[in-house]
Amino acid sequence: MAIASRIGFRGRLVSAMVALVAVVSISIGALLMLYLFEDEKSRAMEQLSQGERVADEILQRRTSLILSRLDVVVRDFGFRSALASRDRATADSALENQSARVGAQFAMILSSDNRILATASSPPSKLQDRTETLDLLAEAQINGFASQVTVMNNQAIELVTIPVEAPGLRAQLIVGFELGDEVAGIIERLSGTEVLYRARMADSDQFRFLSDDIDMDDNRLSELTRVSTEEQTSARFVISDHYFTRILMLAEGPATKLQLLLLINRDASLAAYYKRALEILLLVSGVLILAALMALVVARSLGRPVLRLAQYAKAIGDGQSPEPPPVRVGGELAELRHALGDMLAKLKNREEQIRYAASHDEITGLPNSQAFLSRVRESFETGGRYVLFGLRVSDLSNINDTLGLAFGDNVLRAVVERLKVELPDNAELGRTGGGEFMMLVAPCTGEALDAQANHLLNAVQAPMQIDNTPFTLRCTMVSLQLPEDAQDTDQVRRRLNLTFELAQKTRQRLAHYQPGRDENHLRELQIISDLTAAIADKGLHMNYQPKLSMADGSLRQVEALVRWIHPELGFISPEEFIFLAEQSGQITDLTRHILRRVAQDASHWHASGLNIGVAINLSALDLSRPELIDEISDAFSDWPLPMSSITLEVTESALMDDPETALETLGKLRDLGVTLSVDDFGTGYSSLSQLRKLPVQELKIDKSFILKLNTEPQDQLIVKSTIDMAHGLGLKIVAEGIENHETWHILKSWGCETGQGFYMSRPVGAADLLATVDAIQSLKPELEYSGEPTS
Amino acid sequence: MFKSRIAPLLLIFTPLSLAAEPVALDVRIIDHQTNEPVADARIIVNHGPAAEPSSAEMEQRNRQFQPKSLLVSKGSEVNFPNRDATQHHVYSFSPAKAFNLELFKDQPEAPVVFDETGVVEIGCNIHDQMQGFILITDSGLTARTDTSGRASVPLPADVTSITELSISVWHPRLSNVTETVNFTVGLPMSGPVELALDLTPEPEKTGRLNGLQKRFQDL
Repeated sequence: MAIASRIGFRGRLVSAMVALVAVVSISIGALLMLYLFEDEKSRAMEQLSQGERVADEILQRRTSLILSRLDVVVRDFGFRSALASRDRATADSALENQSARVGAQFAMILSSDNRILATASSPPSKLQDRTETLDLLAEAQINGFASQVTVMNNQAIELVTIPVEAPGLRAQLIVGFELGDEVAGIIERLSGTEVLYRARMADSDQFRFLSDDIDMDDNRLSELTRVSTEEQTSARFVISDHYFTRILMLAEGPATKLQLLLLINRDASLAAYYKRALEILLLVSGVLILAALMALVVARSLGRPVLRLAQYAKAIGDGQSPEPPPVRVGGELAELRHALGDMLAKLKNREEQIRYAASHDEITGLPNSQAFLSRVRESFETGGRYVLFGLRVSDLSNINDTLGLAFGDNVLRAVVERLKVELPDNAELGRTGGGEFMMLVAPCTGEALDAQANHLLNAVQAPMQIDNTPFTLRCTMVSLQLPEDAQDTDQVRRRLNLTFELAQKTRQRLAHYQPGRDENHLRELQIISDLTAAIADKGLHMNYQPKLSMADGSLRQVEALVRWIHPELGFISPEEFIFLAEQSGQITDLTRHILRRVAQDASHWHASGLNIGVAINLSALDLSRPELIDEISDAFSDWPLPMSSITLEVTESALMDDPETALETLGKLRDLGVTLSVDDFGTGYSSLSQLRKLPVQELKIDKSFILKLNTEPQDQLIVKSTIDMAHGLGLKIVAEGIENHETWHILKSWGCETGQGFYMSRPVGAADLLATVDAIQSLKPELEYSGEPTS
Repeated sequence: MFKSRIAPLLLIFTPLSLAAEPVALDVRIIDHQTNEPVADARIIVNHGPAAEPSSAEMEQRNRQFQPKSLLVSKGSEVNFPNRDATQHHVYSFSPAKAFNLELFKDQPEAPVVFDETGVVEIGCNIHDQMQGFILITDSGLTARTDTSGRASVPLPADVTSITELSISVWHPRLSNVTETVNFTVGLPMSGPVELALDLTPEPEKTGRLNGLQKRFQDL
């Protein structure tokens, strides 16, 4: 199959035709050769049968002739007289004379009582006593004559017996005639076959050829000898390598067998046969070549138009519009050509439809987003300057939902109508989203830009009548200066969206893109996308800032602060990435990670003898998750200190967003025994009544009040009263952002319980905590001394 | 002399009257194969004195010997007169009497004297179909069977003193016509003696060579 598929149509046609012709002609040739062989055989058989008949006839006629001659002899009066003279010498000489006349080999006359009356040419001894001779005589007595073929002295002899009967004379004449080469020659001449005598005597089991001068080489002679011994009993027609042989039994006595072999030499007919075979082979080859040529011609004439049509189809497939090739042959190929042409036309038509559908909005007929952006891409390539307006119809989905899709479509069409009217002629308009349109207009800036934008916006937002329904749209419009604000269509899309979002966020009707916004946006996206990896790969690390008891300056607790050195962006402030993590929902992973890290780090410092608690910041989102409770108890299951040494800090705003859930979570956290603290107290809009209900034990005054506490009397007032209020509510106070000695002592004097700030220690890594403890220890005198620092 | 080599014989004896009347040998010859009576069989009783030589004739008429067979006593002369218009060449190679009468018309110069007993077969050298037989006997007691195959030979009175009798029989259709067939008959006889002969069938009218050729064609 692989080959068949590789050789192609023409090759297959050629091979099929050649194979067919080959099979037919080789079959015919083979059949012909078979017939020739059979013909040769049957002709040989026929010739041999004829030869056999000829041989029979010749032998019979010869016997008949001999008998006629002998009949004359035995009637010859002189011969009879000589025989009747009873004089042996006379009788012998008379017999000699007569036997010479008839050409006999030898002769003998026996009396009726089997005595020898005369002999001639010395017949074989004891001839008269042989069984065959007696049989012959008996037969002659009955028939009046008898003849017999036998072998004597290595010669084929025909013995003929005829009675000599005369008044008073009763005898038998036995005459031997040689069946020699003369007879063989006659048979050969008349039958056209070779003739050989062969005999098998009683004392031998091998046939022997009688002729002395057989003109035949030994191999062939032995071939014929073998034939005789193998086949003598069955077939009388024998085929051997070089001869067709017919065996005639001349004598088949118990002792002696004499056969006459008629031979046809096969060499001549074999040569003719091979010559014929060669001729047939040549003929077959010629026919094959002719068939191959014809097949090639036919295949070419069939294959060329097919190839042309294939090229035609390929060109169509490549999107070209080629001319149909000329096809001279009619029928299927012409039909195929027609079909291909038809296909091309329909293909083009459909392509156009698809292209239109792909580049146009079906409702408004405007270029769709793809088409419009490709137009924008062109403008980038040509380097033209443009203003790109984006217009979004607000609440289009509401319109569709409440008034129906058809109405929504009509709204869109109406918007397009108005835009078309208001836009300058050379402006481009496209519908790039559900309720979003883009316009490409001539460049303008500043007030002109605002004026044009407002003009368009007002036109669209003017009251309209749709399906007899008075209707007013609200829209947002943004603008991009091309190519300053965006260099490719991706930027166009992104920055347009960004500007839309900004406008919506700020509830503006019209917004212009400000350069740099998109970069911030991209940085945020990168931070968000890299944060997950940072959490998983421990790209984050923890710093701990000591919280000191203000009463005695001892280190009671450290606040865990997460730090992130981004491989590309460098240090990222926790405020930034935690805010983004809250936005993206990654905050829960982050919190879980921090909890585990802190517990791990704490176990190390606990092991080294530092019995310090830890404060961890929770996000507002964490408070809304019920799993938080389990996560905390899991993370700190091996906590060796009292659970109250773990402080969870929650920002004021987080508590106020969803006070109910926060309250519930806080209650459960409180059940764990941990200390709860309100972080950044004083910056949010805390409701004091809420604060009162919260199960917190601590307030952490925002550092904005503390940083300049020593110099700002207002801050001092706020902080002092906050401390007093907290104490009044039974809450402890933590002050963070203590940066100088004075502040420390002011707070200490006001009864603030815990202090935190660069003055005492910056946040340090877990490994540096021991050293920090020592540093704080050395600071202790300073902390306890309330006056001006000595150094 | 006759040779006595004969096949087993069937002899049937009939009661013979013992009256001293002249005795005769009653013989009936039948064909051994067909049991048919055989006519023209020659009976010779080898007993008693020889007959006197006589003179006889065997003429040639219509290219046939006439009579076909002749019984003569030893020493008889036989003449072979030619009654045909053609010449004849009468001869015989028989051991009993070989003679040769070269071509002649009318009467040969001299008769042939047969002085030995036996069967002499006579032919004509130029007419193969002519065949004749002359039986030479030294007995006077001879007879010839009639159409019923019977013959009666008067016997001399002295046969009563012997116990057996030698009889020679000849017929032209004997398988070997050159000899007689000998029988022995016990005496006294009680009736006619029946003798069986092995005979060849009636000879064909055609010549020998024609028959030979015909056989050849039949092969």
